[in-house]
Amino acid sequence: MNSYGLLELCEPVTFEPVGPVTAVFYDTKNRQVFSVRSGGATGIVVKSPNKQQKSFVLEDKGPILSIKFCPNQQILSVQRNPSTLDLHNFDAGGQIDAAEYTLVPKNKTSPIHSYMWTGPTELVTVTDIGLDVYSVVPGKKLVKYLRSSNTSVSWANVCPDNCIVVTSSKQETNSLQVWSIRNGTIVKLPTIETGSGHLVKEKEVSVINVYSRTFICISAKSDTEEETETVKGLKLYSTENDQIALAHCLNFEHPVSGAMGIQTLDNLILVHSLQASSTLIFDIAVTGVRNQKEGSLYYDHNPVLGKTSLANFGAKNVGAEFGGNSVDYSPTWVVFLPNIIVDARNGQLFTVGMKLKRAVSGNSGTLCNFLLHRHSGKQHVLTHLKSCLADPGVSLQQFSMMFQEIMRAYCSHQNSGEQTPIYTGMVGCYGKLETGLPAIQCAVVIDQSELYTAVLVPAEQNGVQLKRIQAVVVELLLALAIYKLKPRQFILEMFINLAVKTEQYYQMHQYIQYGVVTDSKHLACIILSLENVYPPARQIALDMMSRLGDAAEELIEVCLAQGKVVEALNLARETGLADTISARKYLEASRNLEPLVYFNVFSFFEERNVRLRGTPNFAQEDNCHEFVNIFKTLYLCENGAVTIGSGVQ
Amino acid sequence: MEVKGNYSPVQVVNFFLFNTTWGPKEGEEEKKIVYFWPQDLSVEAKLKKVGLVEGVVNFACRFSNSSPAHSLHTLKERLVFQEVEKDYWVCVVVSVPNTRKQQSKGESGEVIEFYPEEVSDEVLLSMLSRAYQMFCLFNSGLGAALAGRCAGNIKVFLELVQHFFSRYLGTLRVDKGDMTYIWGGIQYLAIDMIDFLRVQSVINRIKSDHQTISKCLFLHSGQLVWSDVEPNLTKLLVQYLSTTILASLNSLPRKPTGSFLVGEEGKLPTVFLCDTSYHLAVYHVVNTTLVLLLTSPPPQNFFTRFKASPGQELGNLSADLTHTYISKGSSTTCSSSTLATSSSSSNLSSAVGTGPAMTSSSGSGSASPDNVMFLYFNASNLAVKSTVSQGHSKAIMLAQDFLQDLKTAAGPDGLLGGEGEIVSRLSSDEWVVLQVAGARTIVVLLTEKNINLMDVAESVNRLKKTSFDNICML
Repeated sequence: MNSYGLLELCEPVTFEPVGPVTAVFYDTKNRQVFSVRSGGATGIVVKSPNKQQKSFVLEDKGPILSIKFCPNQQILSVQRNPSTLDLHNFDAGGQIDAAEYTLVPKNKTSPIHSYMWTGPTELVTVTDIGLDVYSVVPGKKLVKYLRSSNTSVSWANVCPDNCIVVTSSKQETNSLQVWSIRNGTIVKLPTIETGSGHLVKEKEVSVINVYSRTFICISAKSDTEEETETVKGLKLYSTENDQIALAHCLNFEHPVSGAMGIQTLDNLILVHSLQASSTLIFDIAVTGVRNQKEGSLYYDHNPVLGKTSLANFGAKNVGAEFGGNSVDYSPTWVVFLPNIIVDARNGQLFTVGMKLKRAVSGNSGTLCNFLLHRHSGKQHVLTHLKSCLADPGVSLQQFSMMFQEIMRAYCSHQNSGEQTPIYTGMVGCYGKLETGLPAIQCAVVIDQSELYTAVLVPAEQNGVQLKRIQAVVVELLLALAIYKLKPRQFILEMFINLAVKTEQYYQMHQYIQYGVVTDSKHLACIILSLENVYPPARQIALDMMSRLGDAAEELIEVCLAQGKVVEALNLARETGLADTISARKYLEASRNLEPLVYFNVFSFFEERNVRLRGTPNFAQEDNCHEFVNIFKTLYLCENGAVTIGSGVQ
Repeated sequence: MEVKGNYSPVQVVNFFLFNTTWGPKEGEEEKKIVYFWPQDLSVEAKLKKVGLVEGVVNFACRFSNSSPAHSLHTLKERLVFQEVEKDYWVCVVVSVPNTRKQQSKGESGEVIEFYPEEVSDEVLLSMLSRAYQMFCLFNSGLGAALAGRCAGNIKVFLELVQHFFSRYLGTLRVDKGDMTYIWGGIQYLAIDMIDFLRVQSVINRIKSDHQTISKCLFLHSGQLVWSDVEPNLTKLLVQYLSTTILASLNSLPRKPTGSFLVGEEGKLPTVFLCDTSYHLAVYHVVNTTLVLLLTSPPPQNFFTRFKASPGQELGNLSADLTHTYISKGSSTTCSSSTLATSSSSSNLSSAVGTGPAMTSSSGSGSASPDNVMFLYFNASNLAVKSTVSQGHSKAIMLAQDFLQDLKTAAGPDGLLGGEGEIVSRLSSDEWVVLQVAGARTIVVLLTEKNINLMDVAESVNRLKKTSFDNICML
């Protein structure tokens, strides 16, 4: 299935393209594109998605090699020759200070390969012989050398977002040095050894950020001789805890030849093939098969969704099948991390965006999992579940997996990322999720109430077979039980109602018998109300009330209604209500019962009167004259003596 | 109770079925007989028995129209009969248990002492109606089978009835009959909620994957976990399984992979539940028995498909359940020793089949001492639980009489609903406590010597706290 339209080119920014007098630069850190006319003399225009453009003029001092702002836009750095860096201050109003000052490398003979701003006033340069850190003092217009690390550099790949630098000492290498710049110091991380058979070039390395982790990403070339220039996958090396280890292998279904661009978007890894005009989407949190090679543990991944292509909804000629235009990936595109495409020849900059509602997958479980990890995925997860419920093709097994994944996300959110203790009572536990993936916290957290209102209730309204809803609720309850979560009352209530609607009373009885429906006063009352259609419901409800321990009053009412006045009195005594209950109510309930029962109830209250007020007589406010009279006619002889036997003669 | 070598227990003497309207003419009385056991009895002897029943019924109906006669007591035999369908009578004659004793004081010969109190009409009556219900389960009904399946052909009908009852009689144990037989209760396996949900989920998946499967029963070690069928029919299906299908299972080699005990070879038997007919298949794997009721004959590849798809999952689930609930309970591992209904449950004190605390008390099983035993029955879901060991049939018999007394005391309009409590002490120093509340009956036997009423009340209360704390006996 092709999730066409999932990825689209949006927020287009047009700028003056490359021309005879115009040079174009892009700065990934600030996402700014610079159109430099005549070396700056006739103006430099800076554009950025969603930001106001700025323009200024620089004196033309020869062709510019590189130009970028520091993170807070107050210093502009311009590289005009390999060994120096010119700096200009910007004031608060955005006006350029024409007087420049210069960073001269510590070792003047070694050219600067690349540099990056690692702070508002700190920058790192990579030269032939090492990495240098400088501090800029804009007020004094001077640059201080801080420290350096020596290494031989043939090429370097800098990643300003997380201050990682990857250097190589040769044009083609099998050993990459990784550096991390933190608080002005250079930390040398271990090297990545790609193996003797695998030489890496500059364009085959990139540094990406997904799920708050930084990975060094290296293209894996095809093994066969004739396809040496095609790429069959990517290897991701994690940098966690300053250790370098192979963590993930992303495998392409078909080798990609020609220019390839890697991007990240909402923790997805996108691999664009410019030649084939198609994009592969990977998600290291969703797919993954444990694998082990040379002692290191890593995960193999296939694309999480089917191959797709970027769409351009903003372009003219709208009206194609999906309301957008398929885009032929242009060879003039330059693909930047995380999600920017710049076409310098045509003067366009795009941001790659995502429309989650267009995500489709043959596997509903994968799709659910995919959506759970997207930042704005909640609504889409719920919509997805709703449509799964309506689609009989989605099996209960898949529901089980989806619910378990949702519960896992919920629990890890509740326990702030810690591993959730789950039910492990079973040896060959069936249906348990077996991903073996390192737990990555989901972006989406779904509560039972949301599942109820957005998935279960609409399904019933839309005429989904009740049996199917019932089976899905069972899967939901099972998932909750596995994660030791208590089902919320409205779900249980719905579960009971479903059994009632399908007239499966005995089945409902079994659910309650086995504790699927947890006790609560509210549910006990609902069950009690089913007595007319299913007589044992009374028993179930009473059991529940007595187990609850705080439903004595309800229990007493039920007993009274049934004429079990003595039992009701016993209950009242056991629960400490004996001194407060209304005598009238109990006597009323027993007036038409056996005379002996009436006698017992009457005596009970007489004894209470003695205990509370020292006399067997009822108080005025008890309003019991009527019942005293009944007692008299039943049991008192003319001489006032009680004749107990008379009632049962 | 003196059990001597020359004690002869209750035995079936005759079992027969007749239709009063058949063969009304003189000399054609033989036609009345639908089925008679033993078959080799002379026609005259058979007709004598039939005539006796007819005579007693006709005579007795002059005294009461509402409750017709149902039994005839003689010194040596007990005859019990019931009109199960209009004009169809099912009757059983059993011998009264007796002991031969040497005549004392030098006189020669023997005296035979009979114990009529050891035979219960209620038990025999329930055996008759159970036999009939079982017939209906497989043949819809006597009249219906004659008109439907046999197309009015009496000869075919007689063969059908004979085929059924001659096999059914083999499973009938009159000597083991007590109040538990009348109840015909179902032993539910006390399992945790999560495992119950797993069972439930597997069943739902089976039903959604195999559209022909309409209803399922899930049994583990012969104890019920789930049923899609009404309790009264569940009871029959469970009895059929335990007496007919699973009884032979011990002799079969145990296979880790599942197999169909009923259905795979040849035609699937038909069962009738509430006027709907289903095709019956029984699948067994490890310790789990799954009864499948199909709305239509299964497609060709059904059995192989079933064994592959849910079969594997069922095997795993069954192994899990066995590990968690069966192996722990008894030192004898998961042999199918608990398959027969008569054997007492393996996890003794665990509960009565209600509420979430079902298994919670299973750990404290030793809390209730051996000299306090109970028998529990819940008529609303037919759950039965017994910790009564063998050799207390007299006390149980007495409890049954009390139960009957409570019903009688309630009167025809059931003013008291037959509820209440009876405490009694036997001459053997045993105590029997009977409690009836709503649909529930609890019988407690206390065998401790020299205890008084207060001790009994205390023991019963303690038992209720440990084993019945999750139900409400009101």
